[in-house]
Amino acid sequence: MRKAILLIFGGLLIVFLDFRLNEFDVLMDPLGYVITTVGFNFFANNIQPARTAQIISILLAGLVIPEMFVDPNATYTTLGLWNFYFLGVTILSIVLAYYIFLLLIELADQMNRSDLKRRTEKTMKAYLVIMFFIALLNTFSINVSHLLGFIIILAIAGLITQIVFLVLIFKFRTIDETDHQQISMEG
Amino acid sequence: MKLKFLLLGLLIIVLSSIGNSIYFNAQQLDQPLFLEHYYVHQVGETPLKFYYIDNKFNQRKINYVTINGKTFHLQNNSFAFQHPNKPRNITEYSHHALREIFIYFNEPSVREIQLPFSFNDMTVHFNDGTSAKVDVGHVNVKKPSQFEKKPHIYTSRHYGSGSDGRAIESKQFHESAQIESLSIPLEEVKGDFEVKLNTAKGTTKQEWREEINKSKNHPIEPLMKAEWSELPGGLFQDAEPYKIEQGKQLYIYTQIDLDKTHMYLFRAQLNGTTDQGESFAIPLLLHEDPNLSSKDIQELIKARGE
Repeated sequence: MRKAILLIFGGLLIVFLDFRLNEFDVLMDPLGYVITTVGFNFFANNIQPARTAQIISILLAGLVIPEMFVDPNATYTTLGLWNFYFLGVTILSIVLAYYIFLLLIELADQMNRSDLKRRTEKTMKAYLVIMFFIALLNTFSINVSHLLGFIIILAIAGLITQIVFLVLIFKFRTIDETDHQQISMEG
Repeated sequence: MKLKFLLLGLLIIVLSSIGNSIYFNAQQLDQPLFLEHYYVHQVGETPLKFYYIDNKFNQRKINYVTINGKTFHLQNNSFAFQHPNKPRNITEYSHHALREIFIYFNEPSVREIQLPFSFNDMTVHFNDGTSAKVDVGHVNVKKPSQFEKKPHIYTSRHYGSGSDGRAIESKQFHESAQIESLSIPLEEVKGDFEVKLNTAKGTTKQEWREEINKSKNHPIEPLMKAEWSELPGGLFQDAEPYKIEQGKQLYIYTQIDLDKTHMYLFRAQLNGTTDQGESFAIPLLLHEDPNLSSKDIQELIKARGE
């Protein structure tokens, strides 16, 4: 379990980090999604959201291949079909996050960790609401230039939210071990 | 959180994106829109600047232009941190940007061209391989000519020009004379500017220098800032000659109509005769650069679209 959670965490971390050399993404996003796909495999037989997350992960691994070569922050990508391509990537990654949250809630439930479950549910709500507003505001950015300051603030909020999400996943790596310890201590 | 809320949110994002794309595309220009330029240019003067509006997100850059079938390469206006293959935005609006090109009409570039020549349009060639024929106003290019100075009739005193279309100069007259006419080199600009004349007490060169030294900024600065209607003197009209007594100083005020989104760079000329019958001329430089609001841009685009 620890290994599976770390795979999901590591894969998403690779996607989250964006180091570009001459616009080429050195930490390749498709590789990140392949790693998360492997991670979901551990839960796929028992937990339904994990199966859905796995499918979305595979889809994203294929979809983000062009993104390795095109920086979404470059202005020319806000035009035409690229606009819809990046919208598609954004929407799929929000849906992926949704199913990861469901998986984490399910795990917390199975391990009787109501504290972690509550925390996950709260984080999920905040994450989805913030990501919704960022994505919505971004759709206006091509038409309203003075939104820029607002978008920067939301981008920082988005960054923090992503980090909180990653930290939460990272915390789940020991969920079954702490449980064992508790049991053995009780025993 | 329920799945249907998530799907609803995503649907809102998709619809908003489609709506914004439609609006964005409706705002795009097919062709760059050049402002109207009214220039009279002498070969060898500093490169002529032409302003145009293009789509802000379109990074096409004009490589060269053809005027009356002749190719003119552009004077490089790259700034230190400027990408060499992208145009520089002077002013950015929500969908458009004001950009500029510099054309150098110097001896080598006009060698095979009969002077003077004039043009109302040119073809601009972009670095993405496209080109467009655009109206640019009215430009005359002519041979450099030396203005004949007659210092025994008048000598120059003050000169000032501002960014609000106003210019002021004063001339100390050594002979009695009268101004009889105003020559304007371009027919189109006749109604676009006004000239006011006024005479004041004359000054010797020394008195003039003292006046400048004593003044805090410059003696004509208040006149630069004053309302056009409050400036002393009357509008000059060709029908009534304007008399100047010997020893007086003639003040000439010019004001370009700022409601226009046109560019001006040309010399008008006041023509006069002394009481002895000698003719003379006073050149007036008229120069105005754009200061366009977002509303001006919208109106320009609408006007050209129809």
